[in-house]
Amino acid sequence: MRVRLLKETYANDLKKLFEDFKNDKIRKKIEYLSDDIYDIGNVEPFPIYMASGSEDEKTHDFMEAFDKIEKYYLYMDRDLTMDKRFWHTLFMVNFREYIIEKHPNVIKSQNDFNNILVKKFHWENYIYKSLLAVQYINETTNGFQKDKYYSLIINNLDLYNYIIKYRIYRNGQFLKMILDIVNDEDLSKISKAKIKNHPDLGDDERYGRRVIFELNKMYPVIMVPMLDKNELTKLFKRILKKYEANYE
Amino acid sequence: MIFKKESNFPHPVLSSFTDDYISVSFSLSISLHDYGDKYRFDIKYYLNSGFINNLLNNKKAIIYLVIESKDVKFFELSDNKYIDIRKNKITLNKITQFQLFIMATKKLSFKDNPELDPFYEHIKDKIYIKPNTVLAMSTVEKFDGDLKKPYELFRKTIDPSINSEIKIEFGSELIEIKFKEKLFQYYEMRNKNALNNHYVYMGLQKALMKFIADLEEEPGEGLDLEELDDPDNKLYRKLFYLMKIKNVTNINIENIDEVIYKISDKIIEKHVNAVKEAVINEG
Repeated sequence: MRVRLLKETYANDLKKLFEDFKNDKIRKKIEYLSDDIYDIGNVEPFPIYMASGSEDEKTHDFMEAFDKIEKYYLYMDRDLTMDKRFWHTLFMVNFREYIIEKHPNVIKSQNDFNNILVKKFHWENYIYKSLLAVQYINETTNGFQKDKYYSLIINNLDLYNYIIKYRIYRNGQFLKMILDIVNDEDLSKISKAKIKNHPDLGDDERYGRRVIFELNKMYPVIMVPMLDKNELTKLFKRILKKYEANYE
Repeated sequence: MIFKKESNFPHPVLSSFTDDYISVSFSLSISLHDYGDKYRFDIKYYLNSGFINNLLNNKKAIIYLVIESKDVKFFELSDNKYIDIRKNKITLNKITQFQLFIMATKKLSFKDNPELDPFYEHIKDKIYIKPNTVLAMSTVEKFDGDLKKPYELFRKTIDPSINSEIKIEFGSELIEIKFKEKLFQYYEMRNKNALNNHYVYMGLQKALMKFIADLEEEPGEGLDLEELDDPDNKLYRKLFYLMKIKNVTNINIENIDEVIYKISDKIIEKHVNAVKEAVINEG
C-alpha cells in the first residue's frame, strides 16, 4: 500500500476537511497532498475509536487493534508511526471505506468526524494508546505472556491512560512493573475507585490516577523509573494509604 | 524525563540550575550516527567533582542516560560509551533531548563533601540521602532534525486575491501575513519593519490563541508549558521553544498580552517610535 501523507496544514480548516472527506475529495486535491510518499506493504485497518459501546465491545476492539498493530505496524520506523499525519492520512484516505462502515457518523457529524478521525495524537487518542501499548509490551515481554499484559492494560485503562499521560512514564519497563504490581497485589479495584472524602481533589479523582500523579511529582528527587519492584510497590501503597486511611 | 527547571531539592544537587556546588560542573555531549536500521549515540561527559566521581568508582552511585523524544528511555551507563537503538523504537525527526543523571545506589552522607557551597558547612554532616535519590544532572543536549528555519516566525506576502485588506494565515512553520496591497505594509518607508509591528502583534495574538485552542485538553483550561510535550506542528513548536526560552510557564486566553510582551522585544514601543519619526518627517 502506498501512503501519500497529507500536508501539515491539512487540519487548518476542519469544516472544509470534513466536507472534502464526505465527498471523497481529499485524495484528489493537490492542496492537501505533500511530497512524502511511503510504501508500507500490505497492511490492514484496525479499530481506532473505543469510546462507545459495551465493555465487551471495547475489549474486543482493543484486542483487535493490538493484534493488527503488532502484525503490521510495529516494525515500521517510529518517525512515521509517531507522526499523527501518517494515521490521519491512512484512515481518511487509504481506509476511508473501513472507517465509514465502522462509524457511519463520520460522514454525518462534524463532531464525530473530529473526534474519530482528526483527534489529537496524545494519551486520549486510541491509536496512540494502542500503539504505545503494543510497543511497550513487545519491548518487555515475550510470546505467550503478551496477551496477559494486553488484558491488564484494557482492565486498567484508567491507570494506563495516566501512565502514558506523563512523559516520564512513557517507558516499557515502568509500565510493565506497574501492571505487575497492580496484578500481584490485587490493586486493580482500588485504583479505579473514586477517592472519597477529599473535596479538594475534584469530584472524579481516582486512587490510581493520584498515585501516578504523586509519583510524577517525586521525580527527579526520587528516580522513580529506576526503582525496583519492591520499592515501587511500597511507594504505591504508601500513596494509597495517604488518601485511604482504611487501606491496608 | 529531562529536567532543567529551577526547583527546590531537599538535598544538595549538582546541576547547571542549582548552586549547591562550587567550581564543579557536569556537562554532556552526544554525537549521533545513522547505521541503517539503528542509531548509535556516542556519549562523552565531563564531571570534575571528586566527591561524585569517587562514589561512581565505588559503585555507590550510577549514571543513567535519559533520552527523551516522544517517550523516555533510560540506559545505565557503565563502561560502554555508546548506545545503539533500533529505529522502530525511537523517534528522532522531532526533538530529542539527552541528559545524564547520577543516582545514589546506597544510603549516602554529605559529611565528607568538600565541594559544597559554604552554606552547607555546618549542616552537611546531617544530610543523608536514600538509594535512588538524584545526586547530579548534566547539561541537556538537544537534537532537532526538523525545523527548516528555526528562528523565523513570519512571512509577509502580497496577495491581491484575498477578500480582506490583510489576512493572517498559518503555514507549516510560519505565520503568514498577506496584504491585499503593497502599500499596506508601509512599502518604501523608512523603519518599515517597526511600522509593521502592529501586524506582528496581531499575528502573534492569533497564532497563540490557536496554539492554546488546539493544544489544551479542556476548552478554557490553558496550558502548563512545563508539562506540555513538544507539539508536532512546527509553528507551534517554534512558539513553544520561544516561550520556554523566555521563561513563560503557562499560557491562557487571559495572559496572551503578557506572553507577547515576554517573547517579543518591545514591539509596541518600537512601533510608536517609528510612527513618531514618520510624523515628524512628514510634518
